[in-house]
Amino acid sequence: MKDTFLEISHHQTSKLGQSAPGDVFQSIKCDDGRVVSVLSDGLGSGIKAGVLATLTATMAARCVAADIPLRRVAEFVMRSLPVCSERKISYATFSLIDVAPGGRVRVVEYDNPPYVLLRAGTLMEPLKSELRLPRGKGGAKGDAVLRLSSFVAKPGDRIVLYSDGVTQSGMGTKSYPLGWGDVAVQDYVRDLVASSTEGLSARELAKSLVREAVTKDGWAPKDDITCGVAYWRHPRRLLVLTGPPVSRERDKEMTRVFASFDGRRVIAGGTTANIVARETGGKISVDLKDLDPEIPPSSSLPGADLVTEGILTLARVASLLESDQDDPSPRRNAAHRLLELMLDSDVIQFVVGTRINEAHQDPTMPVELEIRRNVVKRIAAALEAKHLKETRVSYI
Amino acid sequence: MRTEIKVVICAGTACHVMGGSELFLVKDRLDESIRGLVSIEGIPCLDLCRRSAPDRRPGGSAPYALVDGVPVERADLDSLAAAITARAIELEG
Ligand code: FES
Repeated sequence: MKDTFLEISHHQTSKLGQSAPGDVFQSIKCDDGRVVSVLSDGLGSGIKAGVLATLTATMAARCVAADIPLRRVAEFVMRSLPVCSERKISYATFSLIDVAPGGRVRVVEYDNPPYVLLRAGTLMEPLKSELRLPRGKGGAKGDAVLRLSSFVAKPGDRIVLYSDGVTQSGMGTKSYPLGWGDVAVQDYVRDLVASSTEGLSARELAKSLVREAVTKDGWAPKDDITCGVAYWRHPRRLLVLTGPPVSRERDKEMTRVFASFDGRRVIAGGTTANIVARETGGKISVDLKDLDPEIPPSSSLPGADLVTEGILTLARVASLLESDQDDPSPRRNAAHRLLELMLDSDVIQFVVGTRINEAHQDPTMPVELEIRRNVVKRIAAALEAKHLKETRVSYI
Repeated sequence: MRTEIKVVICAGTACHVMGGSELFLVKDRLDESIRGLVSIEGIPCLDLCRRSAPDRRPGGSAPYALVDGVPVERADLDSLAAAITARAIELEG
């Protein structure tokens, strides 16, 4: 599909009192351009459930990524999954989507709430075929039923996967004695997308759905609540300018790249910001409301969506991206804001300035350039691997 | 008599690393009679860090601030407050 970008994102929260989620959402980008995402829900909650869900998700995603036929993958997963000896049900359920570069989508579902396919504001009902397989070890009763479906995605399509923590949220309360329910959740997704003026990102949609389910549970989640979303959207572009260009003669060129960029623009670096301000005649003002002990404050400059300090801020963004934990601190410093902009974009283009020093006498500058290059590489790698973003790095 | 002393504090990498972030709190260190005269502003980089210090310390003599355009090198809360106070007395006299 030309000029669409597949945004895949998820959000989750653990059952109250559990430090680790028992649901897992995982995505793999294959070498042939396919993307495989799996949502798996381990029986129960906590670490044990999480391990089973991870096992299931990883196994399924790797097999599909390795181009093993879906039926075989399903058999393989079913055979390996242990079955709970008391309740005779499998330890983990899963939903898997396999997206080919041309937009052909195949979905396999096993015991999770049915996925939502939203196209042009309408809830679609893809045809599903059933695949019956003997259950795993442990003598479970009856066959496991997997549901297979496939379709070709169109620009603007959204697929929403969620665990039963979503559909069962609110269960036992006066308003939702049986839980929120499949149909109501689907309607919620449709209405939410319809009511958002700008295209609601996958990330925002996943967050909103989880938040709504948590609310239904009276802010005390009774189960792990997870939502994963795939959204074929027009790409949002972000430019990150960092470091002064190799020579002063190229200051104008860098400024031109900045000014003519079609998308959002960030400058990370004081000297870089000064150059752009000088060339464009804009005035920079540092935001003193934004003071933070670790990360220098951000600034504003006409034409820029965000101006931050360089190395320290970028290094923090890299470590926030690399850590698997959500940053629990409620602080919103410049690094958080920059990260937010990156995650909200699909294509992120870095333009790294390579000026070594001005006076040729400061021995620290080559080191600084090396640090800058490396930290940008780290950020780009994490954005690609963990968030399936497209990144480009160029040097000036 | 002029009524304002303009203090510009560098929020750049070198100055921040050398402890410059605390300078934004300098108003707390000033005598009340002066506090009202002072305006504080930040700047992404004063470009003074590119000069090398006599001892070739990286980042020149960061952190830097300007008090009515005059640089204060290796500034800390005490030295910056002192520079502002001196400026206030100068304007007074
Ligand atoms: S970082 Fe302060 S003068 Fe450059």
